[in-house]
Amino acid sequence: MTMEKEKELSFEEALKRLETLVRELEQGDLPLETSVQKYNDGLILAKRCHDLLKNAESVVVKLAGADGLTDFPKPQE
Amino acid sequence: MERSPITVSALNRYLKAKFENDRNLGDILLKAEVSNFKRHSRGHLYFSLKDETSQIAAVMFAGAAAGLSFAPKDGDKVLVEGYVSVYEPSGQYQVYVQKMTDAGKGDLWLEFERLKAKLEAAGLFRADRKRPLPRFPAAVGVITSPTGAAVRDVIQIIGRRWPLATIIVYPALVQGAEAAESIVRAIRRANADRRAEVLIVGRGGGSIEDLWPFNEEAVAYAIRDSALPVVSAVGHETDFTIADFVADLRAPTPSGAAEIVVPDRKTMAERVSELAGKLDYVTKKTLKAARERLDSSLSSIVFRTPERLLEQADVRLTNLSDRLGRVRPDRTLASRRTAVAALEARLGAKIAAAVAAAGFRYGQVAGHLELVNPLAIMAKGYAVVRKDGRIIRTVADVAAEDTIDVRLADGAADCRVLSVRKDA
Repeated sequence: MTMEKEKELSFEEALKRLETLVRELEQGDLPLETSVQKYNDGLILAKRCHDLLKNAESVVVKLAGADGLTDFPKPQE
Repeated sequence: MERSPITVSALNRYLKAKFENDRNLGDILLKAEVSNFKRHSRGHLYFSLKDETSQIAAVMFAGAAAGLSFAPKDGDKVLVEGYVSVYEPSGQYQVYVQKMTDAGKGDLWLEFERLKAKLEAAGLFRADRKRPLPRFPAAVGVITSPTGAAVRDVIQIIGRRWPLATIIVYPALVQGAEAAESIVRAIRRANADRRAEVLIVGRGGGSIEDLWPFNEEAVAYAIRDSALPVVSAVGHETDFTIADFVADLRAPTPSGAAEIVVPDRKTMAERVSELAGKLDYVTKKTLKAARERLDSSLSSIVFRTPERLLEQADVRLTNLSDRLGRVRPDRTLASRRTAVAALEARLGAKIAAAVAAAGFRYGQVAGHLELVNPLAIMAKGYAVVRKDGRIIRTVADVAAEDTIDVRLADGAADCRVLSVRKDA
């Protein structure tokens, strides 16, 4: 895994990888060097997840009209 | 002839008098179905009374309603006693209900039960065809009226819980004769688009007639045929429709559906933190275990193994040389020499590889843990003392006149013990 690839991961993919990685580490039996590498990867993945959660501003709403997707008019409060 | 205009109030007052003076309208007994039932906060009941083709507004004032022996609701078949009159401010004529009794289930409910039984027999409600919902949908399709309360609630709740998702509204009519077909088209379009990963199909609360499109067979089959999982969200908690039975999941309301289809941002942040914590803990544990393993095996890996390999090689070499000396030179000397040379070369390569592997492994481990290299310690003036190959750690293990081996960073000295002194 490279840094570049992790920056583009969806939340789901990043979380799934993080979960897998923690499970592998918990099972042990990994060479030390691999453990350290996975630890570093895990830190990057956790940061990616947190960034995605933190940076999501407001939900994008589209209307599927006759001529494709358009912005949905803001609902009246 | 000259005519003078009258006011609207005068007209309504006149009509009201006409209604109330009519002998037939003053006391009626009506067989009907309740619809659009609403209970006003003051206890008055407002609803419609209907049959297959026609309906009329009705009101039952709190005083009369107090005498009811059942809780009327939409779809109830009832017998009504009362009179018809005009409500002057709106000019609307309506039935003023004085008595109302339950006359059994309404026809719409019978139709509902009939279709439900039919579709159930056709296998549309089977539990094994319910699909799981995606855990983190990138896009949620919402099939409902683009102007209703339902779409507003869904947008608000998904926006709060999981703004990472995109919402795609597929507009559909959700009441009236064309609603069922419109809903079917929207479900098919969402499936053709393949942008959304899960669909919410529904509308806000209303009368049984309002919700009826969601009891249509065509809608049921469209949900069955949808490749995208469908969450039904029709009306209120207490409303059940055919769509609810066919859908992969029934949500009690549109808001409920929004809560179901996306995860919660806060919960997920906690989950990620929990995983990061585990990551830290497990890695620290692994490093600690590795350090202990290294500590306990330093002497064998770093010192002994390469030397033992060298000793073994030495023995084999001596062996071969001896055998070489014993053979008759006139016969196989040349071939033996070649064999020995080959063996020597292979042995040398193996030893070198073993030493390199041990050194490499040590280097790796020591590098990660930033441990102090024992050879570096020796270079500072420390020595490893051995007797008969075993490391001496205490004066109790040596006696005067013993021969010991003192290993320094760059070589070894064979020594004889003069005397032994234990520190006080």
